[in-house]
This record gives sequence, structure tokens and C-alpha cells, in this order.
Amino acid sequence: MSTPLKPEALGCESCSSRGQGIFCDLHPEKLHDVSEHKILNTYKKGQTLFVQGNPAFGIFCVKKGNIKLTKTGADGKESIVKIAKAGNVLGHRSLFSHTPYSATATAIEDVEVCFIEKKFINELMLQGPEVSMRVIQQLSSSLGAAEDRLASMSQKNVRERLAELLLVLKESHGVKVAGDKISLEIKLTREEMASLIGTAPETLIRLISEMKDEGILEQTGKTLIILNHEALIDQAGLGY
Amino acid sequence: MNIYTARVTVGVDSPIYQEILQLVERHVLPGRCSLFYEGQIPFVAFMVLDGTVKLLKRQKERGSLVPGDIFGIVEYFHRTSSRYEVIAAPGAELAVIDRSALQLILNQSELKASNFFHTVLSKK
Repeated sequence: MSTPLKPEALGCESCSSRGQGIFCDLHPEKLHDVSEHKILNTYKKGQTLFVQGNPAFGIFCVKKGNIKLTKTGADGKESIVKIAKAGNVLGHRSLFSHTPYSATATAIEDVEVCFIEKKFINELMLQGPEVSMRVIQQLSSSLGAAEDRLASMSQKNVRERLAELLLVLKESHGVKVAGDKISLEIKLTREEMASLIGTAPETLIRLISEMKDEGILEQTGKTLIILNHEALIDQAGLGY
Repeated sequence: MNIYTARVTVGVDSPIYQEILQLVERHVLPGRCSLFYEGQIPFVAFMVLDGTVKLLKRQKERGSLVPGDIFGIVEYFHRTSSRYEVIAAPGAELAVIDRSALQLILNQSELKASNFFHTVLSKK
């Protein structure tokens, strides 16, 4: 056999999202092993990593960029269930439950993603608790977020859900600009934002416009900027 | 690499085809999907068992794969970019040749499939 499957030039040791991922507690030797097994690819905006209903061949670790996970219902309607960012793992639930992908993953901007084969990840998890514990943490966090979202959908009105979404995006993608202003550095269309809170794009656009009039938000190009954090907390029904 | 080198053909009547089937997982893909895009390193290689699998370049169709065709194997092994996007139509059945399956085949020198892959993979 000629040169065996060669590793990527850039190892996991120097990955920009390493501290947030499932491999951050691994011993350097094992981390090097992961580097040798992973395949790093770039997906352009709109390209799919995997499709709902198809089998899982491994897991995807997001190195850079944002990916939307969508579920398509029996009526063909698509709704966004999650936005994955750098450090997140995708496809692990299907892999460990031996079930097909329950959602479709699509790049919402150009992203860099590492793929790790299922046999290797299974072996790694059997060798020590480091990766398993991190996977459990991510699963628990996802479950908590799903429960919060379920409660929000049934208990809150659209305005409250939008305020909550803006606060979630502030935590995950907010970048402080001038003064107390927080810019939401994520390229979501209004349709995608509407899907995340279970409403129509027209309603979302109207509510954003109202929030701008109230001095809670402002907009630069397509980017939303939060001006009044406290008002958002109040409108999300999170104040005490 | 042209379309004729983007795939390697085993043929469904070949003993190599049967040997590969004994050692790999097979899956039916219910949804249309890109298995990998032009310019990407395939994350596994595939052998077509049934259904429609197409090769595209710059989003234009350049050819179809038939049962017994293996694709992505050279790029996967050498970690090089694919010059084609590969799209599977709903219902396509594929054998998945991942790292462990490939090593299993390569290490069994008594297999015709082992010699076949050694030859294919020695030509970059």
C-alpha cells in the first residue's frame, strides 16, 4: 500500500474552536490521533452537510461559521430547530442512537467543518471518559435548549419569543460595538429568524420595526444591533 | 482527472464486488443529497449498489454512476479534493467504504478486492 490516509496539515491542537468542542479535555497524544482521523472541508453558504432521513456515517465538528438545522414536516414545511456554531458537534445523536439524521444541516455562510468517522469516535469514547463527558454535556445543553424552546412556544407570544431569540443570539453571536450596543454577528435571513420563533416573516419584520421605533434595536445593513438589553429582558418576560 | 478516472468500476458480476459487500455497511438513502461537493475531500468512499448517482461539475451533470462503480476512493485515501460533486437520488443504495473497512480489505491479501484496491490506490 502506498502512503496511508494522511492527516490534515492543520491539527486539532491548533483549532480555533478547540476550547469549546468535545475534544478539549483529551490528552495531546489522543488529540493528535483525532487530527489524523479527521477530514476538514469547507461548505459554501447553502450547501448541506447531511440530510434528514439519511444514515449517519460519523460526526461533524464545526470549526468556523454557523449552520442551521432544519426539520421538514409531513406537509413539506421546513422549520429551523437549531443554529450550530463553532465548537458544536452535529450528527452525534443519530450516531449514538443508530437512527437516521433527524434534521438537515445547511451552511448559512461559508463554514469549515471536520468530519470524524463513527468507528473511530466510538473507539475513542470507549477508551476514556473525556470525550464521553463532553458529549453528555453537549447533549444535556441541547436538551435544555429544546425544553426552553418548547415552553417558550407554548407559553409566550410572538413578541416575547422574538425578544428571547434576540437575547439568545446576543449570548451566542453578540459583539460589543460602541458603548453598550451589541451587534448580532450572524447571517440569518428574516425568514430564518421567523422560523426560529414559529411565526411568519411579515410578523417578524413588523415586530423588528416596532422595536426599532421603541429604541430597543437598530439596524446597519442586514445586521441587527441591540441598544436596550434591559428592555429586551423585560419584553421576553424574563424580568423579576 | 476526467470522469473516467473519477470512478473505478468493479462490475456487479465480479468476485471483488461480492468481497467488498461482505466487509462494508450498506445503506439506502431516502433523500436526495450531495455525498460530497466539488473541491471537498470525501469523508468516506462509496460503491453504487442500486439507484441513481450523478457526477456534476460546476453544477452541470457530467455523467452517471452505475452499480459496481466505486467513487471517491482515490481522493479519500490520498486526502485530495474531488473534482466532482456527487449527488445521490432518493432510493440510491450505497456500500460505504470508510477507513476501517478499507484497511480491513487492504490487510487481507488473499482477497481479490485487496489487490484491486492496492493497485487503484497506488495510482494517485
